[in-house]
Amino acid sequence: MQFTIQLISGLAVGCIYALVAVGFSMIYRALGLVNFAQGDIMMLGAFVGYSLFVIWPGMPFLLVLLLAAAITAVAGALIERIAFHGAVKRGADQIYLVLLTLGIGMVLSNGARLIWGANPVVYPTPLTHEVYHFLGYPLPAVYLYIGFTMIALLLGLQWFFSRTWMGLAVRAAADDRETAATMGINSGLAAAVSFAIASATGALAGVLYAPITFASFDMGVVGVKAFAAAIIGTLGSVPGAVIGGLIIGVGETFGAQLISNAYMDSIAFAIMILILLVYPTGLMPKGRRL
Amino acid sequence: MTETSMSWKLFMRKAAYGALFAATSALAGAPAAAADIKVGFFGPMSGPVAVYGTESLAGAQFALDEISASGMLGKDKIKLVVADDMANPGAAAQAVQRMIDVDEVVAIIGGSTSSGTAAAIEVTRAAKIPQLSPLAVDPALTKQGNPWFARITQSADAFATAAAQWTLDKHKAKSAYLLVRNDNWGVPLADAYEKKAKELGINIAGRVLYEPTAREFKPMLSQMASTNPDLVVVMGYYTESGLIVKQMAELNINKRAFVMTAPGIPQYLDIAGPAASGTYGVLYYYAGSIKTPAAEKFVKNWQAKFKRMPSQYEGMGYDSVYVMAEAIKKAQAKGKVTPQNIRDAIFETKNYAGATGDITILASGDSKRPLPFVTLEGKELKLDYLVE
Amino acid sequence: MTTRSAVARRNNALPAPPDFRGWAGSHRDWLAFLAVMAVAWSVPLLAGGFYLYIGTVVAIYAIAALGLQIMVGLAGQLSLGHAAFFGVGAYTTILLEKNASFGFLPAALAGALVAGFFGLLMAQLIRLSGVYFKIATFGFGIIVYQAIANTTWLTGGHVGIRGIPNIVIWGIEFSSRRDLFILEMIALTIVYVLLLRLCRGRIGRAFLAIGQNEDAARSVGIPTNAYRMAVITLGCAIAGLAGSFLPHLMRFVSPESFSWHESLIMLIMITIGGLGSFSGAIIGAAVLIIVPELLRDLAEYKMFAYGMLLVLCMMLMPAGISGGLLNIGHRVAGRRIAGRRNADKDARS
Repeated sequence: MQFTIQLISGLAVGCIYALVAVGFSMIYRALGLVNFAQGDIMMLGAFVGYSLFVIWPGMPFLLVLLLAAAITAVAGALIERIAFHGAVKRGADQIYLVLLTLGIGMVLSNGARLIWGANPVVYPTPLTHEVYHFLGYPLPAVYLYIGFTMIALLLGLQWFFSRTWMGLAVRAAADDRETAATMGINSGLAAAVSFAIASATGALAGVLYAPITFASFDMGVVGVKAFAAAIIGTLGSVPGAVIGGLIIGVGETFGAQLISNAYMDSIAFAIMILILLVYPTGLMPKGRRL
Repeated sequence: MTETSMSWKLFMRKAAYGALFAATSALAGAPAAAADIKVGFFGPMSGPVAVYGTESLAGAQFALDEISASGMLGKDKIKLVVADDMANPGAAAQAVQRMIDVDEVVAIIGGSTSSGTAAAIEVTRAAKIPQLSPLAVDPALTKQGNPWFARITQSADAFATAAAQWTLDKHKAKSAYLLVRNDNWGVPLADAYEKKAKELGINIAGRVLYEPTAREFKPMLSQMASTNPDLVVVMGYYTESGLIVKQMAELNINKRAFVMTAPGIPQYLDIAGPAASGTYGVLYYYAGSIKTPAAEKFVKNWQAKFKRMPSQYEGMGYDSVYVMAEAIKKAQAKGKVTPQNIRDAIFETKNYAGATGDITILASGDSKRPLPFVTLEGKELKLDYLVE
Repeated sequence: MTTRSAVARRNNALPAPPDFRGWAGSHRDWLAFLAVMAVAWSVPLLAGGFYLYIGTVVAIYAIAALGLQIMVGLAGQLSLGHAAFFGVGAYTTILLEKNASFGFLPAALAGALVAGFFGLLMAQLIRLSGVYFKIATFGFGIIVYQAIANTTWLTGGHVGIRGIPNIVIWGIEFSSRRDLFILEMIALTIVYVLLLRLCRGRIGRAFLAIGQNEDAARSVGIPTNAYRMAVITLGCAIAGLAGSFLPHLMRFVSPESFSWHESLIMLIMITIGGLGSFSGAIIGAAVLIIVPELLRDLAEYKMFAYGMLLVLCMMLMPAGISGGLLNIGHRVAGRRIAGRRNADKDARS
């Protein structure tokens, strides 16, 4: 009984990590950018969701989920246009880009604190406290949403990247910008679209995580473990990001029990470092892309 | 360059004022003119625990307004110099150093978090400026023989000891399981509770430390459930306490939970949801539990202005200013408002009728005052037990 | 990734920039050193009081920033866990002074060595490419921080350590604020001078080469891995040395001073000061410590402002304050700078 509960709990958290990691990997794939602001984009999504609930009380959760993702996607595209486009185009140093994303993360989290206050906020919706019971196991209702969203997202991204023109264009531009340009693909647009999708997945993670705990301006630190997840699954690989997320989620849960609760944060990174020492580019075999 | 010119400007300005003041006093031949008594105030005003700083400041300002209106200190006025310590020891030390060197405060009210306060008292002690803390409970702060630090809240020892006693008396609990925040709020509380519990023969079924950033407690809670304790004691911030209680409900763990000061904070109710009902806590101050004239007057005035009951932090901030003001008044009576006189007066505080109860400052700097244990019935806070 | 080689090709197409190395270059480094040190020494000593305290804080963080600068700005090894090594130095020094009655000099040296040792450990991760390494450094910082905070029997954990003894060197006690400041500034001056000398020499130039283009450096025969490990170890050791002073200033030490948040602030220091510039590292440290004091009432907006500063700096003025000053200087002297990349090269002073 205990084992199953931990497992389910670990998988749920792992899905949240996976969602953030997917966005992180996508941005790396498309822009060559390590986006340290990904966790804060998740936070932004969570607060957008909260504001939606405040403006329209009683809104169905699914609608909030989709709207928040859409709004954050637009915000993400804007951020890409304003801050990253120029820098990436002129081939700026990796260090500059990383620092830039760190700065944007700070602006987002502190801006959120100034707008929504320093106190954590809870989603004013029954979903926050709804628990189903399935075969004797308690199952918070949110977990179902998380599960469905993961599946829908993976299928959707798969379809997008292999069946739609835009998706193929994004992949092409990511692989070889110049050749893609000769094929008529606007690399700027491709970059903006990638960032928008990545921001949307981050927002989904935020809106799904908030009912489990709460939304706070510092919840972006959850995103940090997602980086470890994306790395474990090989940066740039969407399926890898998901696997990495689940590994960290479950590993952390059981690790905390077996080793020490006080070191829970360290465990995620220790797992990452250990895996990297054996597989220096992550678990996914080379060549396996989007 | 800028620094030197700034300090020169400051110096010239001070010299000018000094000369002017001396001249006018000499000419007027009058007794001392109304002076600004500068008192520092620091606490976390930003960051995750900003509520401790901002609310205690609100209570302090409320008290200040009352004091200047009532003319308690004659013509002199207390001027509060406020700084944000961001719950960070380096920032706290720097802020306090500046208040002493540049603002020339004669006393400091401050320290809501233990790490910020611990850093600050090193500075105030060296500079011989009295420091009065409204909220810092770390027992180590008053165990150093530091004559310049006092606090109006009880130490974690007192909180936890009373809690252990209450565990036995009120709940006849034979075993307790401790979930402890791994920082200098949770750990001293847990140590003190364990010590007293052992004395009283309460079995500590387990003690687990969790990281301050933790949000998932289910692994911990399952383990806890298997030991079947009578009472679950959570020593952490209201955020984790709320999550712990919520997740306990999700796991169908039906145990009494004691969550320290959390029930007094509205967000705790939000986070924990329906599971919060039936949990127990102990507050610094529970508005309405103290039946003295001063206490009731405070609640009445506060309600008139803010249309709600004062929170525990607001109450403590209010009383800290009043205790300081009383000390300043005694110093005035002695002739000079100096840090030494203020310090002596603070330590002479005996049964001061504060809004949060009768306060006595002990020789160690700790205080003796009432401690309300509460419980939540539905969404309502109810007094469970008042330790006088 | 096609970007780097493509850009290199593009840059070579630009007209060759005038060479600012040569006598003007080397004199410029030392001129900057003199200017910054003159201000750093004189202002706090003359103004006294609180300014002396702030001056000491700036000096401590300036040393740590210099350590970060050679790693990041010079050799291009981005470390996201720098504050952890700062903390290792602090705790090692204090524990040796308190529990083993070490004098300050041996204790501080030990602090630097232990921090350097941990740096060397972290440097083992360099076989991971680029971004993997960066995130590994972040993880390393977290692990070290948690280790400090959780080994309560050794470090006192979150409760911290108080009762810091005064600095004792060769039997003489240094207890006043002024004494501490002078000691601190001596350390800063020595570190700055040593780093400048290092930069002139073969080792320093190797660091620079690796920072500009690692593949090119390797192709010229520079053993990049060995040098990368060396620069990381050195940078961490310097951070450890800086850390050894902090508890003596605050008379208290606790893990909160060495969190990820602090690492981020150190990164911002070297960035707005100017990546790759030593004087910039010191200027950056000064700005980030002094400006919040000037704007005390706006403390709520501080972190937001830092974020905006970092973003704007990266977007508009990648060469930071020192680069900006340099640009102004060149404008005045009538020389043109071709391309952003060259501006960075020149900023290395």
